Amino acid sequence: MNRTLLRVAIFIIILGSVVFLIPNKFVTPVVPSTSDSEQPQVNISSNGARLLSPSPTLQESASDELQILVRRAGDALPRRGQAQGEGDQDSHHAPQSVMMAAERIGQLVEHIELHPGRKPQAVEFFVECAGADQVLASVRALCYHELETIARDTGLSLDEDRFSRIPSSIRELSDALGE
Amino acid sequence: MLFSRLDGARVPIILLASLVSSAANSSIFFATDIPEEQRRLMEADLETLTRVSLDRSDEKLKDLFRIPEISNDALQEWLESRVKYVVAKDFYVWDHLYKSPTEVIYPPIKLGVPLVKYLPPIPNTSTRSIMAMMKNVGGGIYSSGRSVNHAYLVSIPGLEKKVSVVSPRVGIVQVGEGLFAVRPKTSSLPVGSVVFSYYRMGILFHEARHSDGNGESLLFSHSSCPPGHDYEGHFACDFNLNGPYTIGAQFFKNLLTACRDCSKIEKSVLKVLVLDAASRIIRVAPRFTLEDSMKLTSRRKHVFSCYQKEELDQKHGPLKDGLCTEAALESSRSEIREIYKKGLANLLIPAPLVARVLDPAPEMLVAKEK
Ligand SMILES: [Zn+2]
Repeated sequence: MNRTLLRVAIFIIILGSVVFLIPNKFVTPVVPSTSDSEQPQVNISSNGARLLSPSPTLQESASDELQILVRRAGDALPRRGQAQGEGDQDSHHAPQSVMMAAERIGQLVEHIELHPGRKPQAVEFFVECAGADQVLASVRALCYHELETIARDTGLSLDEDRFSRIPSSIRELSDALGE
Repeated sequence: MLFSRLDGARVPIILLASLVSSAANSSIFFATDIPEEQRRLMEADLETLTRVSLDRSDEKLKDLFRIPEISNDALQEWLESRVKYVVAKDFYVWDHLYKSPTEVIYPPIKLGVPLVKYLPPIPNTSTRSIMAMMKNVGGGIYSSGRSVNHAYLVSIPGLEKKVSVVSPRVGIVQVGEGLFAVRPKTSSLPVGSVVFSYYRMGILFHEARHSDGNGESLLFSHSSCPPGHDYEGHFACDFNLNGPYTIGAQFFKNLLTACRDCSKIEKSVLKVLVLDAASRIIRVAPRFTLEDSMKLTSRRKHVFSCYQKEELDQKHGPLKDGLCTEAALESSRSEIREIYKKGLANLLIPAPLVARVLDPAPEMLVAKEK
């Protein structure tokens, strides 16, 4: 429990700073410590939030919400090997861990659409995720796809050094979502 | 002879369609021992297929399915010519098989691209039962008949006449528990979210492709995933450009493009379904020198014997100490990976193989003339 709190605290500090995240940081806690009841309650539904105009206070709470969503998405990233022997599931089709990771990433995407100012922080998450060797390729490619979307919207160049550790195989896989 | 029998078996299907076991607008027959709840869910999915929004400009899907236009009717027809009967999870094929009295001739086996088997599949241990999603058992029955050179008839609960298995297009699929548990327990999406229905439909379309093919492409069987792949060693990859995973990926992509009512979260799940299927399409496969090929066989044997250690120990006495330690296994696995890498990088002869589009036309046996 203490370790979880420590991890959360470290995560928030790192997220708030400009410092790069340590590779594979998201990858370590795979065991479903993500039990929804353990997490702070996040109102994932955006219906209410859409009606609000951003005030400083709300921007702060959006930032808190972003941190929670990032953490939840990070915790949900499925590791290689985990999927191979995922309990009793059929390896023929996408395992549930992949679906859950996509849901959490979707929640994050939904949030940054509502709060475009938070996109830079989300970029850090997507870079980490897409570059994490231990994460399943499908989820990494999804992260890269979201990164590309943000880059397109914000004029961010994906040629920067920090994106170089995202391998071409992941970039190419994400093309499956393109034309 | 055999064909008329097949036709005979199809007649009651059409009659029954309006009575009990078929979805309102679908000709797919559901075996009567399928639990009602499962049948209803699949019927609802098939119903969804008749009205779901599709991206009609999707040329790739059109080419892949070889249909003149993208429409709900065309997709339904494509599906129904490959999936005709759904049987329950406990359907034990061998209890339902009958040898046809008609002597038959199967088309000759064409030599083509061999299945790429990089690693032996990881066998199920006795304690681990896999919650299968769906299996195309009709294709398997056709293939079994082919190997012993006679035709089979299959009895399906609720159908009066037996079904003749004259082609991989016989279209018998078996549901598994996994199909009805696609929604993760911790999902924030409602049970009725379209993505779960789309996922099950995608699985059905994937299985439908297993009803196609001839010779080298027969049943569009999967290859084992190569070293380094997320599903390394599982027969869960395709080494072609129009197999079940390509079908699934393109189908999900079409729905993703067309789904205007989908939330960001639903779209994200659809995206990952596209990517999961796409990640299983292997575009280049290695070829090996004779020496590497022999080394590969020996390392594969080692890994495989360790997977089956318990069983082998019982049969032949315990394997040599240290043979199956994690270090010994890892040594063999890493050698396999190295040989694989070399086989891919080989710029001389033999050059790596490149995946291609296979012929989806279904083969068909013929009755021997007397
Ligand atoms: Zn398959």
